Amino acid sequence: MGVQDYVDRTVDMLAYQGGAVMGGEVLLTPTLASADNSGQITTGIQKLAQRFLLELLTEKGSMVYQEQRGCSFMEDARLGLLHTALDVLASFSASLVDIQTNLVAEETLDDPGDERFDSAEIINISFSGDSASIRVRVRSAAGISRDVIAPLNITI
Amino acid sequence: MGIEVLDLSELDTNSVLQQIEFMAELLQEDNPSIDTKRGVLHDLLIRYSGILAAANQENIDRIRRSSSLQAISEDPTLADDDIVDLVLSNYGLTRQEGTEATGTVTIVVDTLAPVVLPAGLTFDASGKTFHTEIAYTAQTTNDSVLSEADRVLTQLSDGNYSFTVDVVADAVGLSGEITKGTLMIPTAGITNYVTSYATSDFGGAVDTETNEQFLLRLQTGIAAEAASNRVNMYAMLRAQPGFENYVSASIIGFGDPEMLRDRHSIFPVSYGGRADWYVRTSERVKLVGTTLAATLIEKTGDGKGNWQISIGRDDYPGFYDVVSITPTDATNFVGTYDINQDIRSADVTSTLGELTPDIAVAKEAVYSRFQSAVIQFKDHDTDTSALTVNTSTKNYSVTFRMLLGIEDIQTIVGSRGHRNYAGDILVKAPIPCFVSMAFTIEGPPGATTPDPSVIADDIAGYVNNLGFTGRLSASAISDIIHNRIGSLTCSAVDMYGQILRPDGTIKSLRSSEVLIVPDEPENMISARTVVFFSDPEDIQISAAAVAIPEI
Repeated sequence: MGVQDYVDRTVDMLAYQGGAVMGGEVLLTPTLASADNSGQITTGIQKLAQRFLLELLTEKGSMVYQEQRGCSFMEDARLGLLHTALDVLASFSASLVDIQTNLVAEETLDDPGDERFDSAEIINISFSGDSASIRVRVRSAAGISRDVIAPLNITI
Repeated sequence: MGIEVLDLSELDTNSVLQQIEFMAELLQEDNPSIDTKRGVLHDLLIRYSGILAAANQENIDRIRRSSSLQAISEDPTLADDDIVDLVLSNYGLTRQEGTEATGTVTIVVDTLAPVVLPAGLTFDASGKTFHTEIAYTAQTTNDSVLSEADRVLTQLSDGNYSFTVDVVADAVGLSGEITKGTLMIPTAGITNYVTSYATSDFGGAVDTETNEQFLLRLQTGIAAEAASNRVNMYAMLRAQPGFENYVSASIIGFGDPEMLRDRHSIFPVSYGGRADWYVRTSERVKLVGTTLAATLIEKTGDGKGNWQISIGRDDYPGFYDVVSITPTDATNFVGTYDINQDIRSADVTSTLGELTPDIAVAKEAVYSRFQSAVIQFKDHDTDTSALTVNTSTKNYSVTFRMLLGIEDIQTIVGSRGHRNYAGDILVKAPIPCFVSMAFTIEGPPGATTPDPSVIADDIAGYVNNLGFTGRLSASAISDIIHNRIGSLTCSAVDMYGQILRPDGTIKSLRSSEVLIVPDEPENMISARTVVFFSDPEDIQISAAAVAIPEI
């Protein structure tokens, strides 16, 4: 997609910053601004990936008045239930039901295809010390996918 | 409740969601390029703006509700106390502040020696705390008594000595009231101490007026104070000194099936002109103790005897029953002598300046100032072999259960200036249904359970303010319990009620769902004449640990 494809799109703040690499792999850092960066905006598939991460990293029930938001993934991590790659996969799969429900509920058919959620999958899990690196592929309704590496420090 | 929203989690969910949506639309119109439906801006900025906007709206609503007399009247619980005070001050009314319970403690010591109690000495009783306001000295002889702070040690029949001191509850309100005989444990050592207990019922406590009560006073304050219709009569009562805070009242008159006094003619029809006014003057019944002389009326085969006490209509006007008869000065006596007979009769002797109501039979006078009584009981301790029937007398400690002030109201409504020229009014204490209840609080092992006395006070406060409803629901009790126990659970509430019928019989009610006052108009029993009484001491709360498996 070219720049002209993003004209008249609605934008969001970029909360998980990293290099904008189309179809590539990005290590995300949770920050709105930094010493050399006064903040960025985002749209398209990157906005969708960010929304996905927000849902994945929100504990279900933690948002007062919107208790249905989020999923159980971070709760599992906080409770130390994720010991193996299989545990992570199982928790992710269970959480994906809630994530998909919440993301789709926010969308309309008028939204651009690359901002509408289609599916997600874990494509790699690696453990290092007491942290896990999880690479997730988020696919939009337009068929465009984006790989993100979730910045997770979890007890394993 | 405070006027300000102090916790963002106490807002109405629909209101919050509406405000979030409203904020998103406002921002979208102002800046169409921003995605306001979802994402970071939505979750971090718009969402919290919506919550804060909902909080502001709630604040505005509360001020609006509190400032409008109509809104306050519709839902007094939602109004802010300070603003209600301001609104009602426009009508010359001020909220009545609560007062502490006061009473006397009997302290028993085992030695005839001076005892000094400091000011501020505290006593614990049933989870409540009381304190002395001045220092007291118990003296061994009357000659040593020089001031109000000096008390004389009195020898008891068991060889100990006792003296009394006055104490005041730490907490304001009726929750500080305790009943006669309640054990009161000093929190500091007392020389030669044996025991201490409430000499009589504590009284004088008044809860701070709630918005509901304040508004009711406004309504009755506006009404004419006259013995005409019910609203006017309530206003008249509330205007009398000492009865501003009566709890509830019900008036039975022409056309009501519970009215028996207007059917005294040979024709079986009501001819009107009579009103029975049931007034609950206080939330709780009072236990009034006194020493009365009894006459031996019969010797029994075991060498003991049956005794009789006569109670005139002006002695304990409108009393409900005698709850205990014990020997005087016996600190170790438990329970009461068996009461064999409680015979009520009507005493309609004219009183100067008062209209005597038309009372034909005893049960019409029961619980009014026109009742008199004869109480017969068996004394299983006193040897009567050397005594003479109908001549020998002996003093006993007698405790009555009653509401105070019934005779004073009768005097007011019977006076020429207040009474209705077309009939008479008979003032009675409401027919009582004394309620006890039991339930179990359940939780996992190690769970902290709240203070049972606080729960019991809450429940008793609810029951005693129900008024003439005729129903006491277990679900309402459960609701009160859950307000205190949080995530713990409680069992079914076993409720037991005893209605003391005017004819002297007792009607028992038991349910874990709802106690319903039966409809017995021939006995003057109905929801319009019976009220529920609850004493926190009669609420049994137990705790149980339940096994919850780990998952």
